[in-house]
Amino acid sequence: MLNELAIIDFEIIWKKINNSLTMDEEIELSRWLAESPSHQQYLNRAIRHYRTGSRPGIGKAETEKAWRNFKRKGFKTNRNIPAMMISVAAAVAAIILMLNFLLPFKRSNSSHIASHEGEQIHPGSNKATLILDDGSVYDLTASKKLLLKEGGSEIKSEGKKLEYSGKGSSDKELKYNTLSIPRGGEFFLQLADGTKVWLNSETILRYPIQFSGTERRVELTGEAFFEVARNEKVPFYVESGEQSVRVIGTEFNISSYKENPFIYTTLVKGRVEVVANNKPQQKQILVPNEQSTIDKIGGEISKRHVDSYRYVAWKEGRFVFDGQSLEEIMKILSKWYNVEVAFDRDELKNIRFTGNLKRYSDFGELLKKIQKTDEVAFNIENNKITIR
Amino acid sequence: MQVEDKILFSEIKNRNLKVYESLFINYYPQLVKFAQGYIFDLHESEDIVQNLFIHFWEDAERINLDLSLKAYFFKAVKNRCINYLRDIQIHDRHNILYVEALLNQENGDEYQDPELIAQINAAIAQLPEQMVRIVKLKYLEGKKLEEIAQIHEVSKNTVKTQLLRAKTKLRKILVKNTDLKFFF
Repeated sequence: MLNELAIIDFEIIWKKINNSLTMDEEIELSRWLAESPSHQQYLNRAIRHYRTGSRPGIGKAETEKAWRNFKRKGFKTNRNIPAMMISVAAAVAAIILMLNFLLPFKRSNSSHIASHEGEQIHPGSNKATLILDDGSVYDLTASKKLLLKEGGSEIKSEGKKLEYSGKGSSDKELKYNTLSIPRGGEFFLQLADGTKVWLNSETILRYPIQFSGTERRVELTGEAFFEVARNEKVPFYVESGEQSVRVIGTEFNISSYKENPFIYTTLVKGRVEVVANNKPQQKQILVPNEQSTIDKIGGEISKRHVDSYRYVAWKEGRFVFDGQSLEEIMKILSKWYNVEVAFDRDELKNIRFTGNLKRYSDFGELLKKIQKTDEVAFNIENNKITIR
Repeated sequence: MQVEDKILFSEIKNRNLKVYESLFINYYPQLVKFAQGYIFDLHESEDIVQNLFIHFWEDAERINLDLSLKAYFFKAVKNRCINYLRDIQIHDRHNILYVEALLNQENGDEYQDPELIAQINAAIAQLPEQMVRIVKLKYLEGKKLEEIAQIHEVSKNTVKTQLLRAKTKLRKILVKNTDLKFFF
């Protein structure tokens, strides 16, 4: 069962920043850090804040935009319907989980999840398999360091980050590496041109270890967030089966899972052009906060305005749901927690939820929060979740 | 509580969306900035403030507003930030983060807690003289950077640098001296 929680006083973080920790406090801090990746993230943010001063605040335009978004999805104006609760039609119950605040610190028993004693399902972690051009295979996990040389390039892994550097040989033929992320994994990759890629669970990326002088082209199956190093002379392409995305220098997310009939491309910054490979006349240019959807069979592309944060939150360690069906939500969660999901009744699949959840929580904790809405109940047994 | 606040709050209870909007527009940026001094993350801070506004609308009838609206908002955001910290297993026993949140708030006329003001005053007294003047103008009188620059006939950047240095010093003094136990 749960061990006693390590609670620290902020003073320890303060002292860490000012390099004045005693040995005992150092131990206390590291115990706290070990409890959850979110703790490390908080510490990093605190250090950055105190070193560089506060970040710019929110201006007038951003405030007005925040208001519009907030009004659209945040609350209901009809006083007779208790908002945040179940709407009239039970099938489409829109529920906002104010998760950060709903759950009291002491874990209550009121939302008990039936599971076998002590059974915990842990979130995903940094893991990947690297396949070199010559076919040799390396297992990259959080604990291992790796340094390889291939075709004049240096390949370095620190267990959660893979980095390419070096001039490369003058070979005409490009050498390719493939990085494969299993269910329950994520990984960060920096390509030879400095482009950064965050890879989500069940994702495969194939890329040259050095790019040619005329174009940069990678192939993606699954989901990844790209921060493309700007180089207007050498365009960057992401191929994902039925579509290709042409980029100059930008940040965007592509979700192209095999089992999903659509490919979604969401732009955070810059500009990209999305082209249907079967119907090249079908293309869309995206500006920030736009998302294109391509129908893999028909090849039609459409685009719409979205809040891009929701689609890239996974990279920041969060799951953000905005009225998605439980079926969609469980698909996403099952990839990260590597579990199987079964629904007792089909209508449960259509219950809709809204919420912002921590990606690194134990799965039971996360389900508890969903269960608190009293819409569904979960049963966990041997990595299989049954929804009643 | 001021009369204006009473009127505004009763309008909220009457479901006056216009009043709600203007309160949101008016307080949102300062409250997010304040929360950032606790959370150090923009998205999280925005979530916290938005959730408060949801609660403020939904549960208006049940909210007992004995403070000014401003004091209510700041206190509520503070409590929500403390809850956030509790979830990641942090206590702010010495109110280091509270001080940070107040300092992070650029407006200068933030909700001020008398006990904290006394502590800040004591800490300010320990700063070098010209810093004292600038800090007082900024944090106790709520003057803008431009105004302070004019008063002292120096550039805005000089004031900014001075303030930054003063803040760092202040934090150190406050943290060393404070065992503040504010309202909860």
